[in-house]
Parts: sequence; C-alpha cells; structure tokens
Amino acid sequence: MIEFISNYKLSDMILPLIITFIITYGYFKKVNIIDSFIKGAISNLKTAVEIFPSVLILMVSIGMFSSSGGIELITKLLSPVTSFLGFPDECVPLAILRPLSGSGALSMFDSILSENSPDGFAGRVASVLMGSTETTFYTLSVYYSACKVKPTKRIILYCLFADLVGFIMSSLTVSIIYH
Amino acid sequence: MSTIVAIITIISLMLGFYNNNLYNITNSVMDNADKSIQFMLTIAGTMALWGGLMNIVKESKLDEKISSLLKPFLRLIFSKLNLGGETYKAITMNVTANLLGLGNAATPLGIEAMKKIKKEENLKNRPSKNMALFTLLNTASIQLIPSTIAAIRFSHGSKNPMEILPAVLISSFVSLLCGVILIKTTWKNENEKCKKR
Repeated sequence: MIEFISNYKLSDMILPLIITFIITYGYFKKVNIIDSFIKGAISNLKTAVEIFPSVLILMVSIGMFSSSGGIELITKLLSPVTSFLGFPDECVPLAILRPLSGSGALSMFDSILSENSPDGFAGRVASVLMGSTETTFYTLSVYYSACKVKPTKRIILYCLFADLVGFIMSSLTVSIIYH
Repeated sequence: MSTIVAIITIISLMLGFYNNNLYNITNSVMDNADKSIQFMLTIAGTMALWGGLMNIVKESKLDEKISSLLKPFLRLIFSKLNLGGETYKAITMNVTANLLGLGNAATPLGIEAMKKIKKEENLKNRPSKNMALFTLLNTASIQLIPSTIAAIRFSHGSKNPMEILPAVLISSFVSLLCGVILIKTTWKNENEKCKKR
C-alpha cells in the first residue's frame, strides 16, 4: 500500500485531482459547468489583456536594465549578503522587485528562466520565491487606503519580514528537497 | 510603479553610456517588445483555464464549504472577534479566495473584511492587531496551486513544472508562521491604551 502511494507524487496528482473534483462537484450540484467555465475564463482573459501593457513596459525596461549591465552591478553589490545566505545571485533582482510590482516580478521571472534552466537551482529558487511571496506594497496600499486607516511603519515591516523569511526559505527548501 | 520604471530606464541609459553598450540596449528593447506578446499568450491560457474552473467553484458554492472548513484554523490567528459574525465570514471568504488563487475575487473581499474589522473593533485611523494579521495573510502568498508560475516554467522547457509545489507550500507556510508569531509577540496595542484613558 505504501509503495503504491509513494509511486504517486503530490506534484503529479494535484492538477488532475483538483480539476476533476471541481468539474464533478459542479456537475452534481447541477451547475451548468460549461456556461460557468466560459464566464470565468472570459473574465480572466480580460484581466490578462488589461495587465498586458504594464507587463510590456516592464519587460522592456527590465530588458534595458539587464542589457546595460545594471543587474550584474546590483548582484555584485549584494553578493556578500546573498552568498552568506546561500541565495542564488540570479534571483536577487527578483527578490527586490517582488514586493513592489506584480507585473515587474512576472517579467523578471520570465527573464531569469530564459537565462537559467527552470530545473536548475536558480530557476527553482526563482519559481518557489514567486509562488511563496506576494506584491506586498500594492496589497498594503489598496487595503489600507480603502478602509481609510493609515498603515504604520510597524505593519509594513511585519509584512516585509515575512517576505524576507519567504526569500530565505525558498533557497533553503530548494537546496534541501532537490539537493 | 511609475517610479520603478523611471528609475530603471534612467539608470540603464547612464550605464549604457558608461559601459558603452547602448547597442545591446537597443536590441533588447526590440527583442523584449516582441517577446512580451508571446509571454502574455503563455500565461493567458492558464489564467483563463483557472478563471473558468474557479467560477465553477463559486457557482457550485464549493468556496463557502471550504471557508467553513477554514474557520477553526483562522480562530488560532485572530483574537477577540465575534466568530459567528459578518467580519469573520468576510475574512474566511477572502482567505479561501487567496488559497484558490482568485486574485480578482480576493481583493474586494479583503477590502470588505478590512472595513468590517475596523467597524467591529471601533477604530479611528490607527490599525489594530487583527488588521495587521489580516494584511499579513494577504501579503504572504498562501495560494495552493501556483498555476501561472508552472505555466511559465513549462514554456521554458521545464521537465516537471509542478515539482516546485512542496517547496512553495513549505516556504509560504513558514513565512506566514514567522510573521504571525512576530506580530503576536511584539504588537504594542496603542489603540487599546488610548481607549482606556
């Protein structure tokens, strides 16, 4: 039994399981699954179109920055800190951009994966970092301005602390799980 | 974001002159404008797929089921809120949307929850501990399936785009846990002091 289960990895199972579960659940709850799917898919396609211009300008400006040697410069400046933490140099610009801009982080992530193998150390760390952190400043500004409360410095620091833990954990988990 | 773009382009122009590689920058501008549309097509398919699936989740009321399952866990994080109340419901719905990766749905639900926390705790303009914990839940990504990231990995030829899943889950969980512990131990309740006076 244990052998049977260990043959199936969580990462292989999760997508087929979840997709089938959602569809069957909806079907038996008498939801018109196709109509419902179309509605949701169109609304997300609209989002994709809406974020395209900002992804475009960020991809172009990040491309300019990396081809001018700017990324190399930042990486070199921060390399004493990052090598101490075992954090890959290639992911430093991503970690800087991640809390500031969602589209910027996406563009940076794409550029890291085009220069490093997605299944290598840097590629995996970049992926885990993207998956386990958020656009902190954007979220904070939207939430606090909407309810008209001033976010204190303390709150921003708490959230950035969690991000920092996320950065360190992403290189740590990758080096432990995938050697 | 405007500031980021302005800073990045100004510095790259200066570095371009300094390193004498303006030629590279010109090429990269054209290359990236071209690549961006391809990149968008890569993620648009996945985004549409999950938008569709998650709309089925919403219409079959599966999200309400999940959020009622979450209540006992969230009770460990938030203190002094009415468990049966509207505020708690808004919080659980927002957390559910975040877990499922419904960014579009999570933001309005989150704003609603923030307003309700403010009302229930009767705050003026200083944030409370529960607000800090709630925003932490939103800024530490708790998405269960990193579908967009897997799609980008796939487009760059990853042999197993989803293999990062366990690392993502562990890393998210630990960063959230550290944040919660830090807030719980170091929060100074300036608001409550004011009330007592």
